[in-house]
Amino acid sequence: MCSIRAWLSCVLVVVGLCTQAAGNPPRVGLVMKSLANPFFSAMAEGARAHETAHSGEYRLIVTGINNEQDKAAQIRIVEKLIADKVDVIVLAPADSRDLVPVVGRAVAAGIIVVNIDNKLDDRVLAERGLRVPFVGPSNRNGARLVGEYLGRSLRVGNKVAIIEGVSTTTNAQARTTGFRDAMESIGVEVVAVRSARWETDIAEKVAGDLLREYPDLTALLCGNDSMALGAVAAVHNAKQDGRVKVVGYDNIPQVRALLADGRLLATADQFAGQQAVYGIELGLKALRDKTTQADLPAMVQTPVNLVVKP
Amino acid sequence: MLLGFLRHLFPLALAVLLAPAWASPLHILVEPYPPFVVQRGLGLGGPYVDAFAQLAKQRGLVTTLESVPMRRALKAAQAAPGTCVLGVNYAAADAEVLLYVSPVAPVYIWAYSRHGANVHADTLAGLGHYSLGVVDIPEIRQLLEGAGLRYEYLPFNGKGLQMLQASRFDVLLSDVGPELGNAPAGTNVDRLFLVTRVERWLACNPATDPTSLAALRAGLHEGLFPEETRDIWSRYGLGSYFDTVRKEWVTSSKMP
Repeated sequence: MCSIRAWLSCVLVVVGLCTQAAGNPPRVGLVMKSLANPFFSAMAEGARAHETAHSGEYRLIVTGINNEQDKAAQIRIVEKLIADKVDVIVLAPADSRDLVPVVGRAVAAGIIVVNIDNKLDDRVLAERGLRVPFVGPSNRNGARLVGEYLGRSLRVGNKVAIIEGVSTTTNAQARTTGFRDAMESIGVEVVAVRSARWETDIAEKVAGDLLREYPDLTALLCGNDSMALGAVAAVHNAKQDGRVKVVGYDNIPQVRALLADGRLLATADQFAGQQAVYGIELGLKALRDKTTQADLPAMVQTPVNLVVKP
Repeated sequence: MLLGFLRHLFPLALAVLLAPAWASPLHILVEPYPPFVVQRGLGLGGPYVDAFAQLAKQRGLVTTLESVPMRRALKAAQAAPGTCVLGVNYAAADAEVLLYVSPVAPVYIWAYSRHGANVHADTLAGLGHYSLGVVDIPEIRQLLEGAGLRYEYLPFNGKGLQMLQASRFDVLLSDVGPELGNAPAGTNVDRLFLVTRVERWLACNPATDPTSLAALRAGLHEGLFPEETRDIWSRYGLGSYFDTVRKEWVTSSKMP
């Protein structure tokens, strides 16, 4: 009798464990940058819609930081997800270098990590022997499209300035390069590259300084639409509306009115919501196929389109 | 009869099972950059080329090397799996479309002036009063822009010393100086200070097969400077450069 009871207990425990495993879908942590930036709001919306459409298949944890530069806070978020033993982390890093160590800790803990939006620095990844797939657009190509559109209204010898995101990030540098590509191809001089760290209020000040320093400036090329909003305000304050053109990147809802009336000439849409989804799907596929981190594809390139009208 | 057939089949089956997963052939593109990569008629030579070929062969990789200008090489590598660029500088804009597989060599950027030109600078900040000619490396561009310095890019990286001698600019920032033994006759320059050190890389199309990538990483774990390539570097008169790099870069860089 005792042995039957013991046997039944074992069976019940095993069945219980299996049921629990079957009932616990994988958990995916989406770690974004500034939640105040409409680009990342759109990203979160897209991710949540995907979770709803795949109800029960996985559980999404949406997180982010308060401003674009608080990399310490972002590191803490990733550390918490590691401690919580999530299955996948999809990360849009606030810094391309300083997030690599915590990514390494996540990978060492057996978590699948996918990098979206801003690419982690290959130099630091190679130092640590880490391979993390990047899901995102070619920001250079996107910025070049915007710059080439601007170029149609410029002349050889015109002077422009670039307002850059956080200068140590891959996507900021890539967009600056794309803007430069476009300007160099038409003989327009880039007189300055200044960082406004992705923020509207900083960009307004930087743009104002540039307009005073270079009174013959004909355009401001901004690495994101948040900064473009600041540049548009500075152009208006300097009474240069219509003379100094402004372009941006991201196609956030707040620039629709500016595109409609020409205060913003062009921007680029990199489909924020879809980008997060691509990252989530890559992570979930890795879990299903039992693919290790080292064997994940190196890159999944996502689309980026020029937008000139809302 | 069946046993006989199986007796023949078994070793074949064993060979198939035990055979390594052969990597696909790789197409390596490289821009001539004396003294490291030199054009030799229709072919290529130089320590980068010879060392890479040796290391790749040791790892069982089949490679073809082709001389291509850098911009075209980068475009071609983006378009075709199995295509890599040797000796490319790191650029964030390219990192989103190419896989930077392994650093292959350090690049020491020195500041040079014409001898007797009366240039007084021993730091980057001190260069603000001078016209600068700069080798085309994106990391250097970032460094100079961060310091608020204006500069002109060299149209051909290997011509920097000649342009400096011709007074095209006051100060040359370059990794190629007379100490590398290839300066034009009559070159008389002063080395001012070490600006920075960056790296040259092997970058490949991201869809290149993982077996090849793993073999490349393993083969290049000391870049193009493992001990077994010493003879190659010496043959090109760069033996002491090889020693310096092994001492200062291979041992200090955090290569996994």
